[in-house]
This record gives sequence, structure tokens and C-alpha cells, in this order.
Amino acid sequence: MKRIFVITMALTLILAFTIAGHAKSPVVINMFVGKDQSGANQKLVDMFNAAHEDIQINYQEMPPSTTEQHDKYVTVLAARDSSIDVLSSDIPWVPEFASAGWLLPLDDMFTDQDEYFAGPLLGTTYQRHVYAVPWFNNAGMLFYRKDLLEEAGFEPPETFDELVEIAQKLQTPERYGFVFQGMQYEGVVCAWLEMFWGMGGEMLDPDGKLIADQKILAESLQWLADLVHKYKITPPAVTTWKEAESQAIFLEGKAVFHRGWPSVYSHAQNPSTSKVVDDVGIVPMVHAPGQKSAATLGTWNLSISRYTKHPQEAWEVVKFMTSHEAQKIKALMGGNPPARRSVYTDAEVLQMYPHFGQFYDVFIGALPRPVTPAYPQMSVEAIQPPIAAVLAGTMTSEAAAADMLKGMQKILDRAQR
Amino acid sequence: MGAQVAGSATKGRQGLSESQLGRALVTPAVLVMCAVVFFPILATFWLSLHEYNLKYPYLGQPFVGLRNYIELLSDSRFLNSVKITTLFTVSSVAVELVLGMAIALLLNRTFKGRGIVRTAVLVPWALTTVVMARMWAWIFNSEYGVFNAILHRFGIIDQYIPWVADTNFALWAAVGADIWKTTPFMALLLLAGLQIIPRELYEASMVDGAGGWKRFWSITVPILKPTILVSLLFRTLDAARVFDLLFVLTGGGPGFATESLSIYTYRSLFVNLDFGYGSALAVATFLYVMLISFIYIKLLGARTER
Repeated sequence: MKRIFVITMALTLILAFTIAGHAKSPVVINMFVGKDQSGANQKLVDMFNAAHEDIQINYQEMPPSTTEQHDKYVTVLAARDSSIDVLSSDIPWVPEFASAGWLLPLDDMFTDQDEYFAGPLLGTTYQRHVYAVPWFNNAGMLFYRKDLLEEAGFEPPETFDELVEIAQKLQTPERYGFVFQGMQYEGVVCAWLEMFWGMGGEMLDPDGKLIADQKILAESLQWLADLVHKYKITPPAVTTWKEAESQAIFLEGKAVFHRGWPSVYSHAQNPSTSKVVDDVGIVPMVHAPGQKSAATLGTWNLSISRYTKHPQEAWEVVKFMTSHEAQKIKALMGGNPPARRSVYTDAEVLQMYPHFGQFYDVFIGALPRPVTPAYPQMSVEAIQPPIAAVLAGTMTSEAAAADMLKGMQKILDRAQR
Repeated sequence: MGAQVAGSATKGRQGLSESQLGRALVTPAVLVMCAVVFFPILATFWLSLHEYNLKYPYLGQPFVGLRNYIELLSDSRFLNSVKITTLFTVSSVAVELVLGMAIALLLNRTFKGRGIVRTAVLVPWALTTVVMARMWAWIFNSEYGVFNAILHRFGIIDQYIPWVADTNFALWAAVGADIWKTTPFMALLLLAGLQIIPRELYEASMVDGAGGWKRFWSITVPILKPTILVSLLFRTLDAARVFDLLFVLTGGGPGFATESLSIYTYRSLFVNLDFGYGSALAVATFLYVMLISFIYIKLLGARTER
């Protein structure tokens, strides 16, 4: 008898809790983000969940590979599946996913756009609607050996010619002049675009029409080829390098200049991975006389899926994650350069990362890769092969520029027919 | 069920005739085949006659006839992938045949511990391709790779080479990994063929004074021919559709240096989101594989009718 009583009581209690829980069950927002080793994302999620009773974030980490993340999102979103509410998007995906109709326009909600840098906003705006809020910045920049330049009495270079001159003077048989990512993949396009823009080149007009000047295309490709074949400040092996390889060479002290992403700096300051601690300076990528420095953006953003069942709650999550406070935590814990400009004047952040001041100078001039859903295909099929060919010395820069222009136009035409 | 079938068979005309019964029994299998084989093939073919790109939904899904196929013919990326697939298939299958034959001949002899050796030989084939591709990626690693370490120690190279990142070597690195993995399969099939050759044939030819080489070419090869053709067919079809090994080891790169037909199809579908063109590529891959099987089956048929 006693046992039956206990069981009945237990069942009643469970039932009561279920009903109570059901009545007030919070909205769950599934947030998908690439792997984060700093723990900052988890901390932000915990903070949000503790502060909200009615909304709870279900935090899901994606594989570290950008390509794998892309393909996973495509599979889920193409199926119009509602299991993703908030997702982190690499900047070239924004026009792509927006054109496919997979992202929610955020025009009415994302109202403090002037708090952000201009470049990322260009990249997250497609056909006059904004589809993502920049979360943390990433852009290419020029790292140089402060110690070597000071010793030889050089100021950091501002123009292409200055870079070549200093590199030639300071390179030795054990030390390359200038290293970057030269393998045939997305990274080489990012590096090359900075040279193309730095010579005054433009790719698309605001309506998405190709306006690239063939002469500037050829000049920028020629400069790239000359680094290897004429100035000889970059070894031919550059065609096998991605970020890891060029960075390893620079951190070993075997290069004067290195084109890289912001994270290079934290690795350079870590004595267990670097032989150049405190010897690394940062300047924006060099440019042609009379032109401006440019940087290719790799900003990560937060977007809301068009298929979410809870757009309001999803926006609450995005708003919190991209707030000054949250971006500051991501900066302090993960070293991620914030997307909001106000964080760069935060005393606590500057004290921990004094170099963020130099990052700021780079981000001011940073540009997104051509903002069109056709970009990924343009990059792979029309831009990368000619770059690889001139770097390998198997094609003249004029022929490569003509090929590139023709290839890009063909892919853009496919989007219009 | 069993009783019913037996009953109808003995009753003959009253129930189903033998051929009717046969058809009835085959029907479920045919339906399943239609659902899982013919329908997807036809659907893919139908899709390949359309413009259908997820990134450009405003284009709709108009019927475009053979336009996708015509574009294939002038698509240098497609022609390159056909070349890469053919190079990969021919070189890996050729080496696998020679090595597989050598191993099979060895294993066909009686020696101590043969059972263990036979099992051990199969280990590479038993490994999941993705796992084995990851392993080879480490072996070929440009900084810590054991392949570089060995070559360096013997003084063959004076600097470590990034095998899978170098346009000149990446495909051959992949061929090497494929040979390592699938030679055992080839050896196993050939061994099965070898074991049915009667010992007396060899004994008789030895009495006639034939040497080892002569015995191999006049007895082993002719009798083994059907087995060789079957194992070649299996391996060629597998190699022509290669995806997972390249996807994990090189990702199709650097550039397009290891982009096989299957990898290009995947990229067209899931990276470019071009379902019309991607379907045309899938059909082209299918035709490519069909062509190979057709050639082999012609050869096989000619042999067995003899």
C-alpha cells in the first residue's frame, strides 16, 4: 500500500511539473557557430541563458573548416529546415545565402549600423538590404620585422616599391624577403585583391556589374609574378603555402615581411611558437603612389535563418552577441578583433591588446570581396587559375588578366540569363 | 507461404504458370530497383535538362534542353576532371593488378603461417577510406610526414616536399594511397582464381620441361583471364568514381590538380548550388563509368564464349 502511495505521489508531482514547465517553456534558439577554442562563445551563451527565462540558446559548434560549415548550412537551408535559427556566416556567404532567400533581412532591427566599420557593412548588404550583423573582424595586413627594419634604418614601407627595396636589402640566404599565401585556393585571392585594390582597381559597381580595368588586373598580376621571378624576394615554393606555412616561416624568423590575418600577431607574441616575440610590427598592406592601402575582409557575422520560427527571439540573441559588452568579452578571451568601433577605445581592451590600435587603421580601409552570389564560383574558376599560372611563370600577366576578365564575366552572365 | 508455392507449382495450370509465378516473385525486387535505382537516375537526367541554381531563384527552373551538356564540352574544368579521373584510374588499377598478382602468387604457395599472412594482407582494405586518407595525409605531411623523413634520411631529397600541396605530386600521392589500400582486394580476387587451377597442369608442364615464366604465361594467365577481367572491372569502376580518398587527402586541390569527376560534381552541386549543371555532370560521370563497363563486358563476353 505504502509503495502505491509513493508511486502515485511521484507521478502526480511529475505531471504537475510537466504541466507547469509546459506552460512556461522557454523558446529555444538554435545557434550554430564555427569551433571556438577560447571558450568566449560558451561564456556569452551562459550569460544570455542566465539573464533570460523566456529564451534559451542551444549552442551548437560546427567543424573548424570553413568549407565544411558552408556545405552543412547549404544542406540544411536548402531543405528549408527550421533547425537553425541563428548562424555565423563568413562574409562571402552573405550575398550568396541572401540571394538564395535563406536569410532574414535585418533592416528594421539592425539600426546602429554607424557603430561599425564601413567595409563589413558593404559585405553584409545585398541589393540594399542588410542580412547580417558583423561579429568580429578579420582582414589581411602586413607584418614586418621591427628589429631588422630599425637596425637598418628603414621606416615601414607604404608603397609596393618600398616593400621590394627593403625586402631585397634585408633578405639573406636564410631569410626570405616577403612571404604570403600563394597556393591555388581562396587565400591567394585575398592576398592578390589587396594588391589589385592598392593599385586603384575596382571589381564591381554597386549594381553588381563587372567594371575591373584589364590594365590594372595585368599590373597587379605582374607584380605578384615579379615577387618570385624578378625581384626574387619570394621563393617559388610560395605556390604550396597556405596560412599555416607562411606563418610558420615568419615566426621562425625566416622572413622580413609577411602578409597575414590578425591572429598571426598573437602567435608571434607566444614564446612557445615564435622566435620573433616583440619584434613584429603591423602596417596596412602597401599600395601604389597616390592610392590607398586596402585589406581583404574575412569578417564573421551573425545572420538569422529565413526559416526560423522565432525571428524576434533570434534577434534578441543576435543583439546580445553583437553588443559592445559581448564583443569585448570575445576580444579579451579570444583575441578576436571586434566589429564595433567603440570597443577599440575601451581601456581594458587596449591595455591587454595595445596592437588593436594598428588593427583599427587596417580595418578602416578593409573591403569585402566582390559582393555577389556568384563570387565563390568566380574565385575558384576565374580568379584562382590565372593567379596560379602567373605565380608559376607559365602565363604572361596580360594573358592571365584577359582570361580572368572573360571568366568572371561568363560566370556573372550565368546569374542573369 | 512455402506450402502455397509448392501447391501452385504441382497444380500447374490451375494456378499461375511457371513463368507467371516467376514474374510475380520478381516483381517486388523490380519495384525496389525502380524506386532506388531507375527513378533517381531518370530524375537526375530530367534535372540536367533544366536551369536550376539555388543561388539564383529568380531564374526559375526553365527547361533548357541540352544546353548544360553543350556547356560541358567547352568547360575546361570538366575536361580537366575527365583527364584527372582517367589518369588516376589507369595508373592505380595498372599497378594494383601487377602487385595484386604478385601477392596472390605468393600467397598461393604453401608456407608456414600462410593463414596469418593472408589475413594481415587484407588489413589495408578493411580500413575505412576516410580514416586511411587521413593517415596518408599525415604520412605525406610537409613538416612531420614519415614519407619525407624516410626520403631525407636516405639522401633522396634534401628538403621536405609538401607532397599533397604540390601540383606536380598531389595526384601521384593519391594514387599511391589508393594502391596501398586496394591492392589486397585485387590480390584476394586473383587468389580465389588461382586456387581453382589444378596442380596437375603445372606438374605435367614441368615434366615437359617448361620453366616458371613459361608456366605463368601459358597456364596461369589463360585460365585466370576471366578472374582478371572481373577484378579489373570492379577496381576500374571503383577508381573511376573516386571521391572520398581525394576529398579527404587533397580536397581536389591544389587548384584542380586532383579534382576527379565525382569531386567536381559534388562542388557544382553543393558549392556552386547549381543543380541543373551539377546533374549534367552527374550524368556525364554515369556515362563515363558505363562506357568503361561496356568495354570490359565486351572483352569479358568475347573471352567466355570461346
